[in-house]
Amino acid sequence: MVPLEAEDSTLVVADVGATPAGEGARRRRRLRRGGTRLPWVSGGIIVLFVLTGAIGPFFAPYHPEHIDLMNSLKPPVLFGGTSDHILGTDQLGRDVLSRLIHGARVSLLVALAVVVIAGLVGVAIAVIAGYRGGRLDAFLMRATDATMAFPVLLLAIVVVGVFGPSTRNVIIILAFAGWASYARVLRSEVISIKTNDFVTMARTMGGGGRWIVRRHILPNILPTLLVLVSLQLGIAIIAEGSLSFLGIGVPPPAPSWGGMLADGRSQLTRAWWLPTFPGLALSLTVLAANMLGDWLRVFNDPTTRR
Amino acid sequence: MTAATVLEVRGLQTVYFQGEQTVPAVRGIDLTIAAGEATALVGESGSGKSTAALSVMRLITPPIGTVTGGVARLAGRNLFELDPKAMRHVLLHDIGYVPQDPTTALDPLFTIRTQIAEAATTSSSRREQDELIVSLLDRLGVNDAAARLKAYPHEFSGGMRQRVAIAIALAKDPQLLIADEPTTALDVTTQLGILRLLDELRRERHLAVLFVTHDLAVARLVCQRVAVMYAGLVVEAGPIQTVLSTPRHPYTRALLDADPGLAEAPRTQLRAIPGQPPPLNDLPPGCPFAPRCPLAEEACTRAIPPTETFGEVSVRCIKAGDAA
Repeated sequence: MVPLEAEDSTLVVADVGATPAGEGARRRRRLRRGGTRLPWVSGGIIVLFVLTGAIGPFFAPYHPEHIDLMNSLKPPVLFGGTSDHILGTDQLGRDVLSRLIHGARVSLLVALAVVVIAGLVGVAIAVIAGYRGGRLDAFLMRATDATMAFPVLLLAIVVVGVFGPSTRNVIIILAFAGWASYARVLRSEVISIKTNDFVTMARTMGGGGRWIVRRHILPNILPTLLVLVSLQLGIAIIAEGSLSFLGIGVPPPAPSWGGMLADGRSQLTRAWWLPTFPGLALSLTVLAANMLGDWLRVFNDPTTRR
Repeated sequence: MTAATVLEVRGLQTVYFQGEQTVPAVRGIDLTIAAGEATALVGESGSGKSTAALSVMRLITPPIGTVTGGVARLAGRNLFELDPKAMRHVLLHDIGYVPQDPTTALDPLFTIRTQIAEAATTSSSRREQDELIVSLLDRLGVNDAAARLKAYPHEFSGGMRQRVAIAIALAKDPQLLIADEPTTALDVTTQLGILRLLDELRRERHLAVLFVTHDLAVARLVCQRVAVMYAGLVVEAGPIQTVLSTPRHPYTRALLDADPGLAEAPRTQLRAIPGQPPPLNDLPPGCPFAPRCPLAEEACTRAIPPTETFGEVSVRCIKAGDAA
């Protein structure tokens, strides 16, 4: 049988002699590589977050902006409150759980839009710069440096000052601040893939630049892109929360985790649940996104991949 | 040789762009390869041999570099004058390429069947393709080829991957096979197997082969003709037996003396060539080998020596007539 080479030595032994079994067996082997298991906890939190954002509002017990001054500052159910308001109410009597659920939608929307827009721009720039090289590459990378050096907060204050706060502006600000990381990381990835002989082979078959990018470059940067996306998702959620916390993000009365945190801060001594629950939601989601990213990174490590 | 000329290169010049500078990598080389004949392009790293091979396929393009002069005729057609579409057609059908490093020659994300099928454009149906691919792989010594069509590159060893890469090159049914150091990355036993295979394929398919290598011993094993490159010039070219037995250019002689497999008397001290090849962005005006040449005299440093012919051998050295 074919001798194993050194780089394959970390693979499961079953890979050696066996001719390829079905896709299923291959996938199962892949999942075990590098000693990592599926990240059930972080993956579960992310799934829960996405589900909550997507369909949660249909199940929320109250309208998030429904004011009920008779029931203001009710504590959560296990701390002297009633099951009418499981996570209590704020100073205007709005249901914290409902606001949290609707806030998830805002966070999800912003995070997804930012990741998609920044990701598309970043990938496009990375591929153009990395594949074409030369002066265009130098120019695009200096533009990337400039963007990375630009203080996001300053940009946010200027944009909001000029155009006023809105969810759309938050997305634009964060997408502008985010694309550079994709461009930077993926460009070097593109360059390293470009030097592989299979790209030369494709060129000797008459493959043009676009075809090679679609066929070889993009699929090969996908693993790295996935890791980036999961990390950037966390960053975008935090950033949206920070902007809303500072009052230059999603404008009230629309519920957002960062905004709830900011409003609840002043009530910390009287109603600890107001800042605690949105803070917890924010931390857990971002932690989960980062853990998922870490797992993806290990999972896609080249020493365990090829 | 009476066979038809497949590849004819005349005065090929290629430069690389380095910032504002252009660095000459190939400075006017001639090559002729007939059907069923293998020509070795030999030289050390940086001599321009790979660049020459890639230039013929028009793969040195801005912003990396560009071909600045010469012609490359494949079966009579000047490749440098073809429009992009015609050139793509030539690349897809007429020129097979075997790369240096089998570990990166195949895209890890696709099965080998997919990757060979991309080149097998002549067969129409999937089954026809499968048959062609299996017969190719069988011929190339891949065991149990039919069962391994759906395997991924990482399931193959280096030697087997190189066989798959050769299969991709041959699936086009090309007239010309360009092999760029195809065995450099392989261990010695595997190397021999691949070399034998290439030699057999050349005979069977009447292929013209351009074999880029730095190893004269390897060249002697599979090639009938040799062109020795130094600093972008072909310094000596001719039938390989003649060139290796009676080298006329001092560089060829020095290469032979430095090669343990070819040195005249075994177990004698090998002679290293003193000095380094000249940097391509600062080439001397005369013979590029003059600074390292034991025979060099003042005249050598003034102009690049013209090509002189001695029978079938052509040499760029003003002292070539004195030798042999």
